[in-house]
Amino acid sequence: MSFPAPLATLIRELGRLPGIGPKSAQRLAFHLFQRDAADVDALADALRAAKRDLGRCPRCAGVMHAEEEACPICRDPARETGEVCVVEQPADLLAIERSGEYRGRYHVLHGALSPMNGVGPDDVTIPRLLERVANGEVREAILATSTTVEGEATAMYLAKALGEHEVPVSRIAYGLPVGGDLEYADEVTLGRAIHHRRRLD
Amino acid sequence: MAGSRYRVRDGIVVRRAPLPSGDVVVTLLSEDGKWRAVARKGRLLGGNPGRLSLFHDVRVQTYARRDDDLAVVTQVTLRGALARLADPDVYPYAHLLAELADRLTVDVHHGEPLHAWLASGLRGLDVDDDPERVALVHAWMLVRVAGLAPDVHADVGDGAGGARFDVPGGRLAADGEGVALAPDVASGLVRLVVDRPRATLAAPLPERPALWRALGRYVAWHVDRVKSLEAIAGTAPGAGPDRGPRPAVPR
Repeated sequence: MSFPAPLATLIRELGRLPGIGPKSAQRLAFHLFQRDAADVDALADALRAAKRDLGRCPRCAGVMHAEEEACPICRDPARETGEVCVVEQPADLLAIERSGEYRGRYHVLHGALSPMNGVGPDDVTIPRLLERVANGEVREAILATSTTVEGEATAMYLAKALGEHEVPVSRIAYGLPVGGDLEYADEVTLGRAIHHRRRLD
Repeated sequence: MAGSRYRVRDGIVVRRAPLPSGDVVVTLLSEDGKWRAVARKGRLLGGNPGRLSLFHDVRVQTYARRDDDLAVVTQVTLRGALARLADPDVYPYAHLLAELADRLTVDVHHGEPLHAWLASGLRGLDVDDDPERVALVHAWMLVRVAGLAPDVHADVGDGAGGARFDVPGGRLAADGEGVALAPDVASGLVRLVVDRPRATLAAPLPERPALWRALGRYVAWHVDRVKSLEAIAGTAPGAGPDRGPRPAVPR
């Protein structure tokens, strides 16, 4: 049995979303069909508004309301510390914010260096970061890229580039997740945790 | 056990494709060819996913469900990790070898030799003072063991008069059609295509920008688009005459 055209279109479009397979798309489509028209309108309005009203912060490249001059973090004078934490994705920024341990500003790269995927320094926001450095906005950089090979390579590249501008650079610490048993840690993480061990005072 | 849905294989991770769902599709090259598997929640920190990093040599247990295309990774043991491959001076070359091996196995299974030369190349990049030479020699070796090396005519000799590199025809000869190569470039290309890699690695390798361009043209025609090779070959005009093309790394 074939679905009516509007339903088939809805399933197809939902199925294009990341993490949504054909069965999930079908379930979501039937769920939306059963909801009130007002609820569906609200969802459609939210989707349109997000696409229309969101943009990248001209300073840190984080997500912001398109009508504002900068994102809330860049506008916050209390964060005028000169510390800039470099992350790969906006979601990483939110994760660090949730930790409550950092009160400086950010720079979002929107990716990591990956030659096999055609991603070089100019394909992420590294040139914009170097502009911020040249403008004196960055007195210290904290590299919080992922601990994948791609993230490591990006961090090492940035360390060299920022080092040329004599900006102090640090890398987030390597270590074991809190609350886990040591025997279940992978060898790479464990090796790095031992290599980067710290003295207990 | 015959018919078991579990399977254990060794391989080198040549590609990782993180999915927004948190899963990661990994492509590995083993002695018996290239294969893919999905690491459920592979983007989580620690545990199995940490071992499935790019270029890692791993032993993987997978479980294949009846109707699924991709087997699911159930266990991973690390056999070897090469820490220096993330160094910006080495990183583009590691990508090149992995991507080239990946491309060379799209249609045909080239098992053991390709795996062995990829492993050799990555290990060489990890320890050698001249990663660019290691990458050039091993990239050509990958092409050679895949059976795609150009035909080098005997009349090229020592390359004293230069040579013509007929890329579409896969031919390197003293005359005829193709791109004109200077004598040093021609002799370098002959060594890369014909000589034993150990000998090529032990001797100076001049004219690297031209050798990269030759490899780039040849691979693009006979294999596929290799993005990391384009990035390396594309930087040739600004590179020094001795070190050859370098990735865009602040030095």
